[in-house]
Amino acid sequence: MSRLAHLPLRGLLALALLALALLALAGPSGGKAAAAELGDFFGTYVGNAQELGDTEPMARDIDIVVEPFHDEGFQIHWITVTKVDGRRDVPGVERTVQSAFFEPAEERSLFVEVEAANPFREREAKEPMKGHAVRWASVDGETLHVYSFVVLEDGRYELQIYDRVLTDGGLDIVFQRFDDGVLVRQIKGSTVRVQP
Amino acid sequence: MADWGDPGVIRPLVLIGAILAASPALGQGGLPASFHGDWQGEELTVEDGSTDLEVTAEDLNVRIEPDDSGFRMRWTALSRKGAGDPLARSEVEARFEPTDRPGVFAFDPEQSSMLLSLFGDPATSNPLEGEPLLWARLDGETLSVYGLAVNPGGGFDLYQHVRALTGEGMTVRHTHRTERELLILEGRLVRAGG
Repeated sequence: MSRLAHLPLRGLLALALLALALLALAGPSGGKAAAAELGDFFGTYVGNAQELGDTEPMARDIDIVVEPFHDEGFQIHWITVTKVDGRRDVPGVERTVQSAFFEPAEERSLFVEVEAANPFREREAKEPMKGHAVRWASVDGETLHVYSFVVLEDGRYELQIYDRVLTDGGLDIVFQRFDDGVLVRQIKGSTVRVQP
Repeated sequence: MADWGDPGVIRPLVLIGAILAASPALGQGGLPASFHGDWQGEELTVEDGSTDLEVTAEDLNVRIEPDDSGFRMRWTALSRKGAGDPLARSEVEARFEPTDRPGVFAFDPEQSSMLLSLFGDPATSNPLEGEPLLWARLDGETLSVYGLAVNPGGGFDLYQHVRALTGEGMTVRHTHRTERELLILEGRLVRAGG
């Protein structure tokens, strides 16, 4: 018989509780294996990115802001400045500002895009075959995925995937656009978390 | 990354749909008869990706039949129930109906049987509610069938089966993409009994 068999029941219970407490403490700090939560992505990030085919390295400046939206959703805003010959103070520079708002889907571990302008309006039914974009997001490991899917007028499709991956100092980004299964655009970049 | 805000297709589509819906002469017609029949796989190669399932040319078999104004297909789908689950075969039978858009066919859930455990209830074709989105596209002598399912964890399962008639039969390219992997199968089919 083991030594444990001689311990009173109360002692065994205390040992079990201690083991559970130690496990709970070890869990979240267990390193990269622990999956990220949505809140881990909240923040302001600045960095740069490069499209496959860009002749200049790091030809784009990017700003990303990820914030809560309502109780359990999130909003993401991103600004891209496409530079000219590595400069952003000459004619031809382009700046785009984009935003998206997501709320949790019912009974599913994903987020569905909603209209920020009408936060109290019931979600409109999506009809993908009428050209409505289907947009959703999910957290998987250290990555926040955002997807946009559209059935085009001629029956082909367009799929866009935005991945933001947590790093020690910020977010890495990967953007891909597929036209009817063909990768037509890919942008990769890295950012650092900054004070908002 | 200007792509996100490209909603240009949406409003024109609604307008075009509204105009065409009022015209019964448009949107009629199914597939060319040369597609109809039982097609059997003769060759199969894994062009990209890997599979834990031993796929054979028979996995490319397809039956295509006329059905009123549309057409009906029966084929084998390869899919995983969830990330990490093994690849498995499922028999799918689906009817497609012409839409207002030339060459575009919508899935007809009333006249189709599918493995519900794989695709959920295909009542409204909204992937964000767990239902599959299926449609087909005819371009000359090439028929593409598409399917998109979004699983409860937010991952997706997107497939694209492209079948093109040739003088000797049919070539096929199956692309199966998820958030984690890409599998491309290519092969050749001949008409059964032909």
